[in-house]
Amino acid sequence: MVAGVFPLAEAARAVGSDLVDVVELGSPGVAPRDLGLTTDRVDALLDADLVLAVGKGFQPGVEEVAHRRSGPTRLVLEIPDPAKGVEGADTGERGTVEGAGTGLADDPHVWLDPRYMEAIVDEVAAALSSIDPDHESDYGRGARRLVDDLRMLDTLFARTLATCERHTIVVAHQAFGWLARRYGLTQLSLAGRSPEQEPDPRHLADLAERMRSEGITTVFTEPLAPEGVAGTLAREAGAKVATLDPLEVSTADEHDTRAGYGSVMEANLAALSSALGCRAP
Amino acid sequence: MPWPFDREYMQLALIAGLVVGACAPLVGTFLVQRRMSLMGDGIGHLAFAGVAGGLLVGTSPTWAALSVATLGALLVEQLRRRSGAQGDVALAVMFYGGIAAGVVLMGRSGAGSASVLSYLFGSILTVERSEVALVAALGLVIVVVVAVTHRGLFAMAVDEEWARVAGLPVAMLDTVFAVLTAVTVVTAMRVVGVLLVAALMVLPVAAAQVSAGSQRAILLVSSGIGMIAVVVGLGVARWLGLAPGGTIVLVAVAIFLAVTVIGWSRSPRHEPEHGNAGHAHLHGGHGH
Amino acid sequence: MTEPLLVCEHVSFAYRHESVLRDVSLTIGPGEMVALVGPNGSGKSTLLRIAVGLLEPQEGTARLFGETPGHGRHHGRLGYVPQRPNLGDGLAATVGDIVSSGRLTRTGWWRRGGPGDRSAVGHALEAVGLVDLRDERLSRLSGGQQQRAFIARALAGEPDLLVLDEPVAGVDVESQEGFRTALVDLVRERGGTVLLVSHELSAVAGDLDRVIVLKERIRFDGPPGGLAADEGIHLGVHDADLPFWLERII
Repeated sequence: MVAGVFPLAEAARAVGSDLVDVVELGSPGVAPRDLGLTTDRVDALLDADLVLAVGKGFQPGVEEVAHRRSGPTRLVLEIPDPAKGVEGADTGERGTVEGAGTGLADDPHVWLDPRYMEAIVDEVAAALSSIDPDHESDYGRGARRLVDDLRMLDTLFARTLATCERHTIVVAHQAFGWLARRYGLTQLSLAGRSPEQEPDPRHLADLAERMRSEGITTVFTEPLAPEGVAGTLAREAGAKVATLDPLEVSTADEHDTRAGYGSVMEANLAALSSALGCRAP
Repeated sequence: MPWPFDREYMQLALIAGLVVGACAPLVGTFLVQRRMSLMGDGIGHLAFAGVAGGLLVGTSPTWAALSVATLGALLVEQLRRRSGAQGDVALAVMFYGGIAAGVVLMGRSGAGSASVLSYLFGSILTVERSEVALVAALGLVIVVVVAVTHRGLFAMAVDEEWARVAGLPVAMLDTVFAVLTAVTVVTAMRVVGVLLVAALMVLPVAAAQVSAGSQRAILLVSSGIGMIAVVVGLGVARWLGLAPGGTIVLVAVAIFLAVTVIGWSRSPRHEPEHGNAGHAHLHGGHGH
Repeated sequence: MTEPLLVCEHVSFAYRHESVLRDVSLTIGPGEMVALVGPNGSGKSTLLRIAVGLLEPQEGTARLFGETPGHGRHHGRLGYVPQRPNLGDGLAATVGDIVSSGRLTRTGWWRRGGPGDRSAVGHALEAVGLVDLRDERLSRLSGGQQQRAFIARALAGEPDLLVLDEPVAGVDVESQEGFRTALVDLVRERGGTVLLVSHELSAVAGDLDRVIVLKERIRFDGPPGGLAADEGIHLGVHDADLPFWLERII
């Protein structure tokens, strides 16, 4: 099977373990949006037993090819939001998203919410089981293992982030809306949906002003994006720059150390915790 | 069909590519002869602004690109006609204006960079049947228009004033040609992308001119080279897993270089063998 | 004399405030071979451009075959040889391509030529002695050969009036001879008319019916013999003579 982005591949690997051969499109260190379609990628997409992609134009080329497959394709953004059913389950307040243009509807990074990731894992398990019913119980076991991990991760995030002095994060592009909503944070973003977009100077000045007045200490960039404007903003606001990984792609480091979804998320939590002044649980 | 065209998406890419490979040099021939080789590039920039505008207002990027490119081409034609020597600067203003407007509109529309890249570098592997039909239809229009206008366009390329005295409808042919260029750029945009459109219009012509003599031969040979570049480019892209648009253009570059080097080795000095010795060759020698 | 081919009446023209032509009137009839001469800046090229419809007179009128130049249906009757265009390497056309395009004045720009058109092209090539170079690239020809190709382009349209702008400037002796043959052939064999603007007349001096000397106004208009009688000037003795006698007459 073929997965469009790193976390989907992670989910598939965990659920399918040795039974599934997972091909992750794109090479380490290449942002998935920049992915140029070559014939071997098209071949892989067309021939896979299952394709997992993000949807809603996150990787338009991948989705166009997937559209032409005869085999099944799962688009993650078409999986219903699990929080809709469990409104207010364990976080009383909802986080908010501010920044150029758009809200959650335009943010594809649902996997940064561990609860949403759970729903993705279930969907992957169901899809694999329907293709390969003989191993349904194996897939179920793999899914349960990962879901347990995700639950622990969720608890850790919720406890840690409940103890913070501040609740506003400043990020390079709107990738952390789902994370923010889950744990009651406010996301301010430099650019819009796409990390390559150049933010306009007025927005930059407003943001620096707001960071100073609210005492925000950190501007978050992403592993693949150049520091660029985030560095400018940090200097302007007297803040520092730190990394928050939206998990769009496995960076080379993670491949080497076999770091997966869980450890990247833990690193993210550590970065958030130090930026927001949280007391470790 | 045999490898590398064994799969449907490769066959669709091949058809669309062949149409573009055949048509782009037909129009490019006149761009080269009128010393407007960079026009295709400029119109490409304008088409990019059209794509961005289309994404912003939610209409089809292709039709938006076609209308902006056509309007732009007509405007460029007017500027060229009116401002003479200043025309060069006027063109530069339009073309940079085009790409800048494209970037601004793209930022405004919030479209992901992926969709931008697919127009800048082409996305021939994702063309659908309906698009192939559209490309083929546009290709047919291009061939027919060139077939009807090529004599007049050639006469104008040689000497526009002579063409006017000869009673050719110069302004009308210029307009038709501007629109033709825009249509070709937008048709080729999907195959090799906005940034490389001009390459497919100009490189096969440059290669054909090294060997072919007559106007007719240049049209046919350049068209053939365009198609060869597409077939070989797609094959190589499949073989080595490369980006197809760029590979097609690289093959065209390779053909041009090969033909040029062969041309050099055949006749190291382009002295005419005819005519009487001792003539002053005011235009003697064919460059190089 | 039958209907005149070209009539200019009281034509004046100025670039900005510098008058180039003032009150110029002339008539060219059929079967004449006429040379229009004058020093640089005398307005002869301007007059020629008015005659073929590339410029409009600011005062007075010009009529070509009884119509306003550039408008009407006379294009097929006019053959125009501009000053040699500056051809870059961009234009990889053969002599045949260039000469064939001359037929467009007769066939229409959109139509493919028939056998009659091809034979006209063949005759034109023959008239200027370029049959052997038909498939040669224009850019590989000498200046004189290129000029002959452009004359052949005009002849291919089988014009009644052939207008040439500085056709022999910098042209080799063989090409001058070919050029003369072509013009004489047109006038004597086919009853055509030639209007030629030139510095150098030696190549055709003996064949001219009429010389018009222009400097802003018409200074002389008559047979070359008259020029000799009035001013004691003989044409075509030597290329370099022209500027001298022009100075004397003006």
